[in-house]
Amino acid sequence: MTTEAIKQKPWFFNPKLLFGTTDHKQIGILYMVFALVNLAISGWYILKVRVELYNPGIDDAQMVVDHPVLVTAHGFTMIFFVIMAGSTGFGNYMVPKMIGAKDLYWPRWNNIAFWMLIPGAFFVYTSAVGTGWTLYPPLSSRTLGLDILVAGLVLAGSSAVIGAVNFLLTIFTMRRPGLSLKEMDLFSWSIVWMSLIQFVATPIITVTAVMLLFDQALGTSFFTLNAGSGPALFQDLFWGYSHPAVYIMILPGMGLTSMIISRFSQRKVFGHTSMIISMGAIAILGFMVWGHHMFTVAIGTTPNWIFTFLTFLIGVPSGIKTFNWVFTMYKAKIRVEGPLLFSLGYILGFVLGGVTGIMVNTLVLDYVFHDTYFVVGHFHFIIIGGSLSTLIGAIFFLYPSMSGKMYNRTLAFIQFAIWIPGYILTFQGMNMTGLYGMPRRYADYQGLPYLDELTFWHRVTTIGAFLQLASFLLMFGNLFYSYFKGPVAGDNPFRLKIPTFWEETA
Amino acid sequence: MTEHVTDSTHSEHYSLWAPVLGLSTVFIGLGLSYIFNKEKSTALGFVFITIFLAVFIAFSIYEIRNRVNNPDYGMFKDESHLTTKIPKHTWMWLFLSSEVIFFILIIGISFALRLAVDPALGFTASTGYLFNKEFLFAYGDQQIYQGWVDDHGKGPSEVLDIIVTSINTFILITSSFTMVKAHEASVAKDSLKTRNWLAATAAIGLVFLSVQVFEYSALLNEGFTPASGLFGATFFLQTGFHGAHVLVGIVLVSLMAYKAHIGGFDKDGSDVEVVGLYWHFVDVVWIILFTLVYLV
Repeated sequence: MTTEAIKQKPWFFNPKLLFGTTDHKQIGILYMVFALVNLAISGWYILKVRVELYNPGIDDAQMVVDHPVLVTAHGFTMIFFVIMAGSTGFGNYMVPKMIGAKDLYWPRWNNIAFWMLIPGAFFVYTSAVGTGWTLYPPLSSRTLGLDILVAGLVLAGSSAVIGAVNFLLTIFTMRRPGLSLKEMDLFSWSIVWMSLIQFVATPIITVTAVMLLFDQALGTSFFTLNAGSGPALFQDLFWGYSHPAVYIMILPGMGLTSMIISRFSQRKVFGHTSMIISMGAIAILGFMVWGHHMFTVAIGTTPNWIFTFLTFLIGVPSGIKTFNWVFTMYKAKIRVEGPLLFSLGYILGFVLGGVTGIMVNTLVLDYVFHDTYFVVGHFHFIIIGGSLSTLIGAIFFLYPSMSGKMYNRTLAFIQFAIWIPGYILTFQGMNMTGLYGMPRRYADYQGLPYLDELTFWHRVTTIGAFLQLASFLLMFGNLFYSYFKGPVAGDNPFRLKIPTFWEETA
Repeated sequence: MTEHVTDSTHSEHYSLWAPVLGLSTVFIGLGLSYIFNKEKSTALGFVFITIFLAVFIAFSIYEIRNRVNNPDYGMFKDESHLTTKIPKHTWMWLFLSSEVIFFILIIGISFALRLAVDPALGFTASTGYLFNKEFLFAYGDQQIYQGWVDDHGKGPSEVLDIIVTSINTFILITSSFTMVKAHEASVAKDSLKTRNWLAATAAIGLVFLSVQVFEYSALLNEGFTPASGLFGATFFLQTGFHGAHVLVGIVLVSLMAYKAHIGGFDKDGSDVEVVGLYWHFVDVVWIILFTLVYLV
């Protein structure tokens, strides 16, 4: 961006543009800001929980009532309004430029899909449901606020499907002439696979949520035990969406990691085609493994074996991708900058989380781990250590082109130095409390066996959570301050061979 | 309200209808919440849904009038930004495929539950993993299954009025026929005929819905409700969702009829075709649903 452009008032000072923009870059920024705001709210919710869990015993009686609500809201809002919204934001910002298109296929529906998230989030936050985000009946079909929550989920899901169709149509019809799908960059491919999953899986959660609402409001007996089909049916349906949903969350992170590692290693990604196929394999296999959330529900030995086997299979493409990232960097001229470090943080988190995934997938071990904090540690390593790390890296990578200013690099390195131990302490702490038997969604652990060990590891977790908070505060401060007082970014602030995210050759 | 503004550095695109429509979805949420909550006023819920529909229809009419009256209107002036040409109906096929998943799920679960619970169909004693009570209902218990009957022990053939619904099915098929005629008329560039056939389609669709509403009130009066066992639950789930889709279809067909009325439909028939695809899909779903719920 030129200096004249910076002296103009930013676009978001103009209410017509702030609300009505159909430009993909501006909508991308709206999504990203929305994601960061929800990250702050949802993070604050869970920090309240972590403070309570620092000591055994109840410090604040109100927390006994609030705890389930905070934990449920944290789950829903992180999934739908931080990771999914953030990924859509990056997709919006980057995909058209990367494929050479003017904008998305439907620029106005792009705007509509964003603004739908506002009432969606409002409903989810105000529903105050306390069942955990997994909404298992019969508790959930008796809970207050279910109608409002389902309203929010329907809006969030519809927004996601509109966005998915928009991305798919854009990528399939608006690529610049000569750009074949095979050559297309890996981030755009990750958006393709993400959109396909969203498109196919979202009807499942819509049906499930409505059936649950019918159980509560109309007295139907889909998931209840009175002349009904039972809670296990709900779990099958719920995880039929929610397992593919976790791949919706991880795939854009994989695409961004590929892009950042390749740019900062100044080299094309090793095994470009195998990366595309691996993402596809992960997306497709992701639909076949939902039963691994139900190992302890006694669905039968044969299904349990099948789900275990298929889940282990997902490790193969995941491993291929991890090795390809490493091979991309092997003997490369690497620019050590914030974005690259955070993407390396992704690989670390993904591997640590993946390893604990192997553990929970092992049938006999899952009987010990199920419904303990071990599972919570597993998936947070993947989402936070993995996806969120790379999203932070991508924010730093795009910040110069988005704002025209350069962030403070030293602060970013310090942030990284706090972030890695931060998430390792938090989620390894959870793995350990889980090993010592800490159940999920408990507001307290007084009276459980291994109290001393539990107390120690809960404290480790809480300290790690506050380290994460420190690192986010550093980031917000860095970006905010740099916007006003930072140096002008120039054309190639990272001194890369290919300075922009969309060019193929220098 | 949709403008291209150019300054020295880049052009700015905005539309004020888009955020209005996006934020009005709050009425869908409020509507759902008020309808499906015993403590809240259901009537108010329907009011909320109507408000949203009004905003959506107002936006659609604004769009239709602009596209017809102003050839320069729209985000992209022509199709030159598309490097791969696809037919106009591609997005409708994409959308319909997600609807297919949706209805397969609803109809499939309902029928699978019936196979497991209804002794008349002969699967309940099966020992396989599918359609087996103990597999599907992991906490299952023999005594709690009342079979595929309502609270008085009557099965589908006794509770549901198959004659009236068969006639209704024929009525819906007729509306698909009128939709085909509308498409023919649009290809023949005859706006009067197109409008009339489309209006007929919407009207016949409305008749179908009215008969459904009449059937619902009769059933509810007899005591057959969503709470009447799994039979009642799945019946209202399937027919309710289908009815909602018919309602949306009637709105779409009516908007297209308006477009034809002001002479603005695509002269190659492609936009009527898009609406027609949705309408035929809704009809096909009904035929499958009718077979599996009423006839079997």
